[in-house]
Amino acid sequence: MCCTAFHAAFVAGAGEALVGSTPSNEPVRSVVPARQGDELKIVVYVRIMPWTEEEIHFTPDGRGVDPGLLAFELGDGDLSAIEAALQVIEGHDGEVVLVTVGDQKADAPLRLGLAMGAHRAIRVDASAPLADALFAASLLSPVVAEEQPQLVLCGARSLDAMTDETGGALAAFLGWPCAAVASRLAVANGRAIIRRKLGNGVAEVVELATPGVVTVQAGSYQPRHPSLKALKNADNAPVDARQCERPPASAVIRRIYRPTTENTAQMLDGEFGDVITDVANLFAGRVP
Amino acid sequence: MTTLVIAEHRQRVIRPVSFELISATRELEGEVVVLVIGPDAVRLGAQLRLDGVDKVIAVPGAEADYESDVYLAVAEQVVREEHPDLVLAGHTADGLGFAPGLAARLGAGFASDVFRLRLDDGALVATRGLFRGSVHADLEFPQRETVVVLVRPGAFAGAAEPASVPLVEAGVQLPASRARHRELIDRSEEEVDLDEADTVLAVGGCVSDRESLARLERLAKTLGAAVATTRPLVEAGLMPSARLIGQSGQRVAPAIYLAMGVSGAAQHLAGIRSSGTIIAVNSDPDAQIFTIADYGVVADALAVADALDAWFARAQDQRKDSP
Repeated sequence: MCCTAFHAAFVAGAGEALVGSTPSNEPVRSVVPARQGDELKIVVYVRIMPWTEEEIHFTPDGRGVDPGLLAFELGDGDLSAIEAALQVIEGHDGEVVLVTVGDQKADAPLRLGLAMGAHRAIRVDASAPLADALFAASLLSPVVAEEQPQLVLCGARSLDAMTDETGGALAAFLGWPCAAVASRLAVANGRAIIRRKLGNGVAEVVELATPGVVTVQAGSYQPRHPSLKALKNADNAPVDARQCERPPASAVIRRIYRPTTENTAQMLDGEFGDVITDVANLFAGRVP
Repeated sequence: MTTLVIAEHRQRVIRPVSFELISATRELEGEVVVLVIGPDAVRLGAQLRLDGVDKVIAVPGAEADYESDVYLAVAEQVVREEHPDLVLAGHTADGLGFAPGLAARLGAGFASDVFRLRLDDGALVATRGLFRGSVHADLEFPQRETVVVLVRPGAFAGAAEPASVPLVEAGVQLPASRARHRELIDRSEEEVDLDEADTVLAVGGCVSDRESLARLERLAKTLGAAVATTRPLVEAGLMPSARLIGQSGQRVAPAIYLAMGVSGAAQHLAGIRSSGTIIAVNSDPDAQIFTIADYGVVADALAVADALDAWFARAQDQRKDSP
């Protein structure tokens, strides 16, 4: 089912039919009271990950990566989360606010999000550590609390597998519920219906009270391409940079290194039959 | 060091990652406590009385097999009673829903997608990949009493022998869930959408006609994979543009991406780079796809497809024959 249809049909009141055929014990609408008005505010946490297709160089202390060659960009998870937010607020009086943690290099990707249709961008000014997923959550929780959104979205299963964790931790800091790895979501009357992707073709439908946090599977919402005009307008859009105190690290890199097997494909060779068995074994537990 | 393992289960069956979490504790000294949450916790907990485990705690009060905030609340209470130094959960859709929150609530150290755990002079060291695995990082957790670690599924062997292990049924106060389980949808038998697929089989330039396409589609069906493609096949009218990955096409992030005869144009590579494991089969050893693949096979993709399909058919026959 296409995501727009999921959303439209859900809002039209057909959510029951969409979430499956099993009758629920109680009507959904009684679970969470309807909110007043039709306003909807969604905060999207974008990670803006450091990335390079080139060879990575380490800092002399062996504990970090030389930032010189790194580009900062929206990951697939970030893009899916922004697109999901834009689709969910369609038809509402609402706004989508992007938040991130980073230095000025994060402003360009934030502006790409603004060109896609997000309304505002807030950047907590701090260089984010490479392997500390709780750092951003800790810094962002007061910012999000102040915004008072109904939903916070962030990417899941993104390239560096770090944003999912930030979403769960952010929810806990805020005292809000969390649904992880969503492939579809729709919001109406102060509740969110989420389809979580569990793997092997199995999905779970979850009803989340708002405010709440949802992590959105990378690739599950195909991001819109902003027009040239929108890109140009966003070029000068303001990014609200905030200062903050750094929280203590939840993990520290003791050593960073290239694995003994380089990041090139491990070539499977030998007798044809053995190669087939090797490939088949990579699917262990996944084939019905 | 005391380790608390939070077991994962679904549809009344223990998930393989639970056994792997128990294995992950082997290089660590000290006690291992396994926590099982859910209405069926006592029966499932009995299956986790395994060698290497010192105690199983079953919390059967919960209404659903899994609800993120129920797991979070129960795990937090158990941690506060048992005082583990380390808490292990799977780096899975379920683990991601509660374990980062547990770390946040406890003020614990935290690491995710970890594939190696060891003690160095009594201190925990966890290893994970960064930059899509091209570098590894050893992480440490100074000044943290407790550390929560999400372990990558498949990183540890899962087998252990049954053993005589005490099972304790614990009455833990459960919160009203604000992330309510409504239902499970099992579409494992149906063709799934490209953006929801766990396994994607991409068909590339090795296919020039419907007959060869059918051979790859048959393998996709066997694997439960969604079929994706590259631009030449769309232009040849063999595949619809909805199945296109790359320029003006989709981005996908399945757990396994099997590229059959895909050469690997830059746009295509950009569209698949968030995938879990990339397996590439191509007769050209210099194909660009091998620069991003985790596993590569230099061979005719159609021949490999037929042989793989036959392999899985044989495996299924053998399962049927065995009692």
